[in-house]
Amino acid sequence: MTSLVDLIVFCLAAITALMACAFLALSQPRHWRAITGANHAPKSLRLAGWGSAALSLVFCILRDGGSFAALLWPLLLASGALTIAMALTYRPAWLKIFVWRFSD
Amino acid sequence: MGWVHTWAGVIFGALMFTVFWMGTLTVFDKEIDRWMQPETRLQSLERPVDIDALVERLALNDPAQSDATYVYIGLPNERMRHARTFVSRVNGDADWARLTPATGAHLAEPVSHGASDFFFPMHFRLLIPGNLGWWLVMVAALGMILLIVTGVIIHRKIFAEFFTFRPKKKLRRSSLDLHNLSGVVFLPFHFMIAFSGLMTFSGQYGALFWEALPGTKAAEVAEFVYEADNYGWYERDAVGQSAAMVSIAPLLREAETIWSRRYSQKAVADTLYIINYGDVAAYMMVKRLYPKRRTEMDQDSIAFDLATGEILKDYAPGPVRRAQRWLSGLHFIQFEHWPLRWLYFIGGLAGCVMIATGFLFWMRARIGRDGTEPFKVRMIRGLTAGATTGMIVATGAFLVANRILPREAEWSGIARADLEVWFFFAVWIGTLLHAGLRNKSAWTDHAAAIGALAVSAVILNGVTTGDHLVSTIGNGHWAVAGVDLVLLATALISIVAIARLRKTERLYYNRQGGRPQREAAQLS
Repeated sequence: MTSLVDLIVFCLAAITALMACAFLALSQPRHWRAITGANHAPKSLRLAGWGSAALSLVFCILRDGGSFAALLWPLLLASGALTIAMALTYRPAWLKIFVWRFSD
Repeated sequence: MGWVHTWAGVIFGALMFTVFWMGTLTVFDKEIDRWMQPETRLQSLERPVDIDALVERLALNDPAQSDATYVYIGLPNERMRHARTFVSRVNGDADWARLTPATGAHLAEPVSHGASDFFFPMHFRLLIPGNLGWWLVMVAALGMILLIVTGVIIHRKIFAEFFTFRPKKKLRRSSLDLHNLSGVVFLPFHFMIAFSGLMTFSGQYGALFWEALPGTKAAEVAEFVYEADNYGWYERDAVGQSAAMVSIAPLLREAETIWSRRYSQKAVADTLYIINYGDVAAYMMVKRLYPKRRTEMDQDSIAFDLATGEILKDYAPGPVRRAQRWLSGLHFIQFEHWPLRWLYFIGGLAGCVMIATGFLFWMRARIGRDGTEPFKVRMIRGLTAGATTGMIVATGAFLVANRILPREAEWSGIARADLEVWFFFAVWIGTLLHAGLRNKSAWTDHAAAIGALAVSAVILNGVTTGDHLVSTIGNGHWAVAGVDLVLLATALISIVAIARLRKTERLYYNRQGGRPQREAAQLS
């Protein structure tokens, strides 16, 4: 049971870290233009990015406590950033799911 | 700052790649050990049923041996399923052994150094006899920190290009993109790894400097480097009068209870040392070198009097030592945390990519507009291909040699385990020469060799041990299956790399109207 809870919390931490990187990447005009064609990225994206990153940290601490979270969190964010950078290059259409409500 | 980054990179690059690559492999050392030493592929994790009987059998029950004076037992854990023991005896004999924990039966003699005795020592001292290897790796770690700091200073658009990779641009641009991406994104990890590596061996490095001073005595070095409390180690000499010893199983439990209470989490003793065995002054040191659910390693130790069972010394380190233990723990990753272990592996590979792409950018920036290459560029390219992809080829050859050489192999006095290492270095030097002679297509050749060796290693593992992927995955034998799967992934990546290298080659042939020398220069 605890191992299942561990797994779920870990997945949540990984997903929120990936979301954080996606939102922060889209908040940059160059990437926002590449994905949506529009010129001005909404300001709320940056907030959503840092919010997701904070949430990811909370999940990391919940799963492992502070000293493991200090390792897990930066590594999840780094892997997320690498994934998003590769997606921006090779599969930009996939990132449309992160545009979601921000594009109005 | 630019020139510092450039030249530190060119000078330390090959050395840093070696340390990074070997460190990345060492993340999965115990798994690679089980792959390379099939006799240790024990299916389930067992604790010794009766630790006292095990110790007694080790120490006394062998009629061919004299009595023991010292017994060490490293208890099994999830990643290393067998127990490691060391016994030294009255007559001066001493030997290591590996046992199945439940029955105490000896495993067959190891005939391979595996990852723990090859990749790991390569990682921290390059296997060079004497102090030179220690010095070089220390300098590489300092160089790494210097390169990280200067890299941040000279990077013009850290945030604007944080997520940027443009493979379709010229190789000079795309290799710089990849260099920046892998470097910036994993910067905290790479800094932590270099710094914690330095701090892990701060004692050894201190000794190096101290020893290098003229007129220093060994005893002074020991006193200077090791704390006055000797890291909690308890010492007393044998009296020379034999005595009965108390049972040790309850003492292990007592130590675990003390630690569990101290850290409010379940603690497991994993290492024990019995000193002055059978003497009135016999005592046992119990440690937990590698706590499962803590980042610190090798913190606590308790010494028990084996005549009475009383605690002689209960050691917990002070704040500075604890900080050092924490940093060492971050570097050694002996805790149980599979997601983190994989993330360390990815971070290590990113470090290798960062170093290799740094080299590519440097070379590309020095090739003339007409495609001419100064001699130093050709030389550095030969060295670079040899030091990066060549080292990966040699690693593949090391694994293949491990599965090809028969158990009793020996060649002109070189034991089988050492033959594997000779194989590694022979192939590595071969790739260096090859890259120097054929330097423009060296990358493609190396990628092909890596793919072929990786697939061969997987097939040979299945054929020679019977533990093919269907069986290992079916039985949940993930250490062996994991190594095989990573090898297959490596083969896949090398195929993609070859296709990509060929495509670039064709692209430039068409664009340049068939002037081969120039396009080939674009390639690498």
